Amino acid sequence: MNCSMVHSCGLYGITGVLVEIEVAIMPGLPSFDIVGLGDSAVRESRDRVHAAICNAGFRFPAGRLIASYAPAWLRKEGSAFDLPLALAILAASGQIKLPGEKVCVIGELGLNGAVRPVPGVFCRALSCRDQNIGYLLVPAANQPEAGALLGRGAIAIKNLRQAVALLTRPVAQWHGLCGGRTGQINSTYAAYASAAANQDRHLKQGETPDIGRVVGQDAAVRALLIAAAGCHNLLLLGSPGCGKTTLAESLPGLLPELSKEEAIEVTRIYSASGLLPEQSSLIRERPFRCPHHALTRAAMIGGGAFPRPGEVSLAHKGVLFLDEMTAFSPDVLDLLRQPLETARVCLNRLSHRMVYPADILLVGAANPCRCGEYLEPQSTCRCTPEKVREHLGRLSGPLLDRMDLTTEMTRLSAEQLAESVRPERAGDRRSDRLREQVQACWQRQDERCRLTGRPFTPNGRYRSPGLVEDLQIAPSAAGYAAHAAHALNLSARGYHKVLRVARTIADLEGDGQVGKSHVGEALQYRLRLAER
Amino acid sequence: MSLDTEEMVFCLLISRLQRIPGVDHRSLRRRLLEQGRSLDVAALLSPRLPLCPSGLPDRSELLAKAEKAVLAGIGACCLCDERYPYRLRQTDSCPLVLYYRGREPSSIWNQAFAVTVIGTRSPTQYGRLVTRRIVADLAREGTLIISGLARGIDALAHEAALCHGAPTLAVLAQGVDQVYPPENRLLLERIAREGLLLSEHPPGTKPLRHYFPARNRILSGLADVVAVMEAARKSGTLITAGFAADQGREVLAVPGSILHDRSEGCHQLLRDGAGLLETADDLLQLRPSSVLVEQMGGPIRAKRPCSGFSDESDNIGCQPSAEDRALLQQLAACALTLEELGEVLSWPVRRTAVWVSEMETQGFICRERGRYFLTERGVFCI
Repeated sequence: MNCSMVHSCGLYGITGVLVEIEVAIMPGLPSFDIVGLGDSAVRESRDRVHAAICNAGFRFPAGRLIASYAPAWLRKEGSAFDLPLALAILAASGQIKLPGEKVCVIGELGLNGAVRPVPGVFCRALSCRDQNIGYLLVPAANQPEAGALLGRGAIAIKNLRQAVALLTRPVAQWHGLCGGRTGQINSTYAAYASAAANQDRHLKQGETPDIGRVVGQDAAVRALLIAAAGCHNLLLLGSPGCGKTTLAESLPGLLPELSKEEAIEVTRIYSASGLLPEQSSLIRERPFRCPHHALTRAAMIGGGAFPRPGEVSLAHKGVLFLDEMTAFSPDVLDLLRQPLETARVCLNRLSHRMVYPADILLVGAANPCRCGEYLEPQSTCRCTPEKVREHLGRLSGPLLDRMDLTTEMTRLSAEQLAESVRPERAGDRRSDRLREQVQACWQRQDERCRLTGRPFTPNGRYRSPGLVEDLQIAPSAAGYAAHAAHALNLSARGYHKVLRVARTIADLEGDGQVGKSHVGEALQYRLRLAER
Repeated sequence: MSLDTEEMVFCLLISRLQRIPGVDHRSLRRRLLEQGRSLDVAALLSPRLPLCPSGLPDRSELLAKAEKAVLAGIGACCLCDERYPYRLRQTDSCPLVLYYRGREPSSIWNQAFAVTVIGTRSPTQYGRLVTRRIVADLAREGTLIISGLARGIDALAHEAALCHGAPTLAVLAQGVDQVYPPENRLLLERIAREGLLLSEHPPGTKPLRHYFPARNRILSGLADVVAVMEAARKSGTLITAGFAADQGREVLAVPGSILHDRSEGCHQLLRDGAGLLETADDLLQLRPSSVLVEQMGGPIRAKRPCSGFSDESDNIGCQPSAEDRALLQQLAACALTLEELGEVLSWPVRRTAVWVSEMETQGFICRERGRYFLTERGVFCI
């Protein structure tokens, strides 16, 4: 029979989809066609596969060659189908015999037969695990990624000859042949991946700046701690150079490590976006994304012909930091409303409907007015209150409503400045001490959620009307908050924000009930717009 | 044709004449004073003037405009009229015609004692406090409060005067039927009902940049005294103070903190010989003698103060404790950020925040531009 089939795995959003790669060789004039809605990379794979087969010492069959990627109605993209296509051609032409086991194969082929890494291996491995496919042949450089899910089932392949040698032996001998996870690092991909990761400013835990670097700004540091402890979105207002960015960058260092499930979700998104550095397995540290303010709508929430995750999804379970928030286009910012409310993004296109997770902690930084000096007493700022309102008015009301904490920062004094350039003391990281506090605080929230029988909901995500009972707020404290809301002219949402923040402050201090003093402190983190 | 319409037609005609290039303004003023209503307009447009007679509008067009304006409650007053503001008449550069909207114009602008209150468009909490306090005290004495209905101090002065039932007069740089700045629309309408809007421009005129400095000469000319509440170094307020000096009006300025630059203009005025303004009494003792007041028909009694704004009457139940009072005094000298306040009290940020919220809720302090200030009540309590 001149027909064969090899399993592979395609990518649909951040989900792997099993694809059957069939090849038939028929009599006729020599030709080679691929059907099954492939993109340009899929079409070009004909030439790569042809060259790789010849250069690896095999024979490219003569005759009319048809390759079909099933399901035929699903769009396929990328070069991950090169290796399975080559194996299917070799099997159809009778040069090899495929094993009985269900094996899934992915990998791009070089012209000399070498196997190159591809993006999205983690997502594909995940679907293989769900479909009970025992063995996944992956490019050697991607082995750790797949290995994090499949263990020894993820087999590193360096070139086409090795793959053929493997498939012709019984499964029991496979591990001896591929020699564990030693992968030959493909230099071009490594360079690309590390460059992409660098550009990303995806900071590793060890590299997260210590919050001890921030001198002074006690109120802002406190607000940051509360933001981390209760997942409250934070708005930092302050003059240029007062340390907003430094402060925001140290936020991931305050957050607890990702759990296994969270790590899988995060890794999935990064893998599908091609942002996972080579030789890396599960992402353990919380993402920190700080996109430039010129980003487009699609870059923010995701999109494209094959919709990819945007910045909100890349910041899933981590921090999305919008520096110079007022410089972002208002419609890009307004796209954040849905993810902030539901912790996910729905992308509806004519041909697809994708849902990406987007559970983010939003941190915005902005100058208080156009010239930036509004909060400085000795400044030349001549912005009128109307101008100042107009400046912050670029952030829409609904978005500001979702920022639980606001802190106004002023410049450091001369003595503080002198202190800020002193070398860091090694070994004593203030971030680590604060992280322990945050960790304990999360645990308390988890316990409280378990009592009420709901999944883990940090205080900043509470939207329920029964706020006072759920958050265990003392009647006197709720009364004080209501009185303050009246006296200080807070809206209903503003009042709820104060209660949520007060809950987190009480959790930080280990108090079971929210008291008056917690509410009092929470009141100082509300947003104030310029008076007339 | 009613008297009002006739007056309006005449005033509109004068306004139009002023805008015709080549008309000699000085001789127009002189003739207007000499001949009054019987001014021969055609003589002004004698062939000696290189002027196209078609520059003058048709009488029917003027009449239509005048009727429309009178219907909208707008009145006009000419320099040759007896009811023309007597203080303004004394100045050299007084406008030939005034348009107004509001009730009893002459009883308002001929009030026995008139103070023009001016200041920056972006006041600090201190400036606001000072303005409210001084204007409230003046208003209780039935003083006419004049200002320019700009943002900031001007609007505050009008509001405070209205709240205490005192007459108030707003001099606009646009027609009295136009709204500017837009956020003061409600205040403008309220002044039209309870006070008086005044302008030298005919109805329908839009505010132009160069109208504002010219408007300032009317502001200072209408008053006995000019009070400067808060002014930065380069401020339009200083232009008004300059006019006041030229017109022989007394200028008083409120000093501010030397730690901020928001009062530099006031300090400059004080250096140049302006009077020191600490309380409303500093202004009230400049009241003209009663003889002059009687000549002008006696002062108009102020209406009863309305409730809702008065600082001492309501909310008096809540007083800070002795301890809080001592702490509040830390804020008396200058405004502080949360961190600075914590440093002064040697408290951590958390404790400071709790205390500050307590004080803010009770209305003793408020925060602006990242710093805490004593409010009017706070100042009153310590």
